[in-house]
Amino acid sequence: MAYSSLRSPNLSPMSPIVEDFLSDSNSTFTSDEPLSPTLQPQRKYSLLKAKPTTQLTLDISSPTTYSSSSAGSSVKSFNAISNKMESGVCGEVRPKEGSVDDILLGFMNRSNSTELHINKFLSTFGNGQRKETDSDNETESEEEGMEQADSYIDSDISLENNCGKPLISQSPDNSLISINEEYTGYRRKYGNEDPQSTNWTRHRKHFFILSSAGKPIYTRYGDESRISSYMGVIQAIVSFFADSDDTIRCINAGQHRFVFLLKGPLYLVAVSRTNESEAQLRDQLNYLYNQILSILTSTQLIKIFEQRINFDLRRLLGGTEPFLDNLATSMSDEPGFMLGSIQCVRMNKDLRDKIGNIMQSVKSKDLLYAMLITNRKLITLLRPKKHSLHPADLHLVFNMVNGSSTFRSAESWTPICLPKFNNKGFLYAYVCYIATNVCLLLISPDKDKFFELSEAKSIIVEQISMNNILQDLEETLRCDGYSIADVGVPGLRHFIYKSRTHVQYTSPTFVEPYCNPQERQILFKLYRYTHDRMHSRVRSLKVHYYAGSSETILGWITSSFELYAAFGPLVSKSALTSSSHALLRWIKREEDNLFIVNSPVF
Amino acid sequence: MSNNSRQNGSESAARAGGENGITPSANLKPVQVKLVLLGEAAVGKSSLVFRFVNNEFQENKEPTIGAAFLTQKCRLEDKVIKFEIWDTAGQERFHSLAPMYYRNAQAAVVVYDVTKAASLDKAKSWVKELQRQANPNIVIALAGNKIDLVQPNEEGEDDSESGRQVPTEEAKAYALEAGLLFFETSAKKGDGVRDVFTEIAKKIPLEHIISRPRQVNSNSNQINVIQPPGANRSNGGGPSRDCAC
Repeated sequence: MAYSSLRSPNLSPMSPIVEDFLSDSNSTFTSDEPLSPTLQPQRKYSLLKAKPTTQLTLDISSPTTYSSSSAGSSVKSFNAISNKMESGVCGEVRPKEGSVDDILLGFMNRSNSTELHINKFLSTFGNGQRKETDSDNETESEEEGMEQADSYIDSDISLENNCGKPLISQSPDNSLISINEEYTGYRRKYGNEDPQSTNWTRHRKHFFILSSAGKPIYTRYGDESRISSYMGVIQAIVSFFADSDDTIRCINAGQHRFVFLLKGPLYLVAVSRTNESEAQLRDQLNYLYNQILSILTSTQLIKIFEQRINFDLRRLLGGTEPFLDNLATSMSDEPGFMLGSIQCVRMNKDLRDKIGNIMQSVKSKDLLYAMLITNRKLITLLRPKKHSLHPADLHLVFNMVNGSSTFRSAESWTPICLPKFNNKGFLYAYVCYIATNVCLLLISPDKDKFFELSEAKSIIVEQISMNNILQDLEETLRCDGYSIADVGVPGLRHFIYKSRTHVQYTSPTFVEPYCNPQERQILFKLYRYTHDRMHSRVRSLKVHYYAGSSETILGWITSSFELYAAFGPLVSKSALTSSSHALLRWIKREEDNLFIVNSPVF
Repeated sequence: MSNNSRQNGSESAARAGGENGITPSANLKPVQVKLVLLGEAAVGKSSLVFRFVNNEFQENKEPTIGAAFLTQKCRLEDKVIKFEIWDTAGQERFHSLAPMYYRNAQAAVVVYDVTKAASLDKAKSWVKELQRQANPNIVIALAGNKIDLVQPNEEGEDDSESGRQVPTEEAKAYALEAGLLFFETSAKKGDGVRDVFTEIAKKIPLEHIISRPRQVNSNSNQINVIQPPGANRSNGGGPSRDCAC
């Protein structure tokens, strides 16, 4: 409850905004002063104290008021925002109903200046067309969303043409952008998007991470230092509810859903019009939070913010944007995150066992986990008898290996925290590609064991290269999964099967009619919808049948599996039932090859 | 890879490279040299190593995670040197791991970005740390990277905008004062990269390593403890030994 002190929202919620604008113009200003939130206004706002916050937009017209040395660029961008804020007031449709909206309205009335920002914030994503949706009426909105889905598919593919070019159509101040480039070196794909541009608002799902002091930490799109005003709004919303000892969870605003996850010193927010449910978005925010923990550990995270609530966490997270970006992207098209399970390579059980045995033979006391992975799929995993590895941790490992190409060029040694294993300390991962797409990971609790593990790798590689094992493995991987034709069930187009006992899922590759990414996205959306209906907290379902215009989706959950199967739109219910049973029989038969049934232990 | 040494005509004269042409003759047992790269994030450490090891350059490389380990063999006069290179990540959060990598190193390359003055300050603090805590005999080279960005005759790209923030003289003077080898490099174009490693190889007391391989490492810490810290600093960090260069 860091915000119990913020009794007057008229002033306080504005604080981080102004502060960050000031700090924008002078990068040394950012983080080094340890400012508690209570002290913050007194110290930083001495500049602005004399002026009521409501006059802020007017005062901006004379930029010299603020500071003599402040760079023109930051003032410019401030101007741009204030203009938008004004237009936000005129052309804004206010929320009308709903308890959350009522509270928000009340909130807005208490503070004019914040109102401007909130309207702006909400309307940025609303594209002007605000529709009140009853949150119970999800089916309708879901279908509506699906129809629109073809126009904007939120994956990296559809906006390919934008990448690389700085999208600064509206704001002329490139200086801010270049400052940030220097900061990280690596240029992110969407890192240059201007938060004022339509390209930025067009993205269907945004993720924001900020500190409880309102400092931006991460944004999926654009440059986080330029969205400070939105961060201020988020902080204001959160602290408003915190004031009455409540916690904001979700705002449904038209097509958009704002989901909040408050984790100690971090606030994570998803803003989405993908029709994902609150629970699904919250899961995704949890994955992002775990990703941050895997970089810092919770001990370090908490300690940092205990010492300095105003700390700029980007300093410590520098260089990890590719991981967060990669995670955010893959959560949109990987069922594994939604299902809380991982996928492994379908391969001959004997081959898998042989590889497992080889890895087992080099076990040393320095080793905690050993795994062989390829493209986000597990080949085999070696673990201690007493410790299994949580799927969420495995996702983090996959995401790390997948998120950076630097592992491909050398042997790497890096600290990693696996939050489900132990969120307080680091493990050390030896990462090395032993073939083009085969990555060996050896995880040790000891930070000095690189050379021991490197030696273990040499032995594994040596043995695995003998007897054609590596060759067989590469041959298996070249086929890249299996197609629905291999399953041979009539009428079945695609499926996802999660084995609850093994916590793994399997799914065939996409073939017609799901060859292009948009079709795939629509199918995935249907799966997601089915998943949500069946896992709804209010009324969870065992079987769910959905007949849409282009496919029929069956969802079926038992104590041992979850099945999501897609059929053509005209399939009869009896055909669907018998096909599903045939599919289950096939999976049962193939179980040893599809899943890692007994992972080797030591 | 065999064209490494031939690629840059001027540098092939430096007798380094050509690792593929090495014949395993009896007296050509490779001498292992542990080398660590340090410096601020995004100055081009990995790109330097990548140029040295693979003679390639990758645009917009992702930041190194933790540290990467690479090896490269070089021929120097009648000896073969095997560089074991720790390419560390420059991000602040990895700083606490750095001692693990430089603890046993015989050489260090501290890299800064000539277009970013702050990166030289960071480099200086690395040098200080090395001179205080690393092997007292460590050979340190200071490398100003990205000179391709400040070369005036850059065709087309007007991006360079004379963006140099660290004058050569300034860095050189500092290197001289601190007893470092000094280079300006471009990992992108390959300028000066091999020189860094060649000169390091020349300056390292190789005979010393050959005569008692690997033991240098285990003893080094003790030596460091016994010596007063001032002793290291006064003689410029130790590298001013009587070696040929």
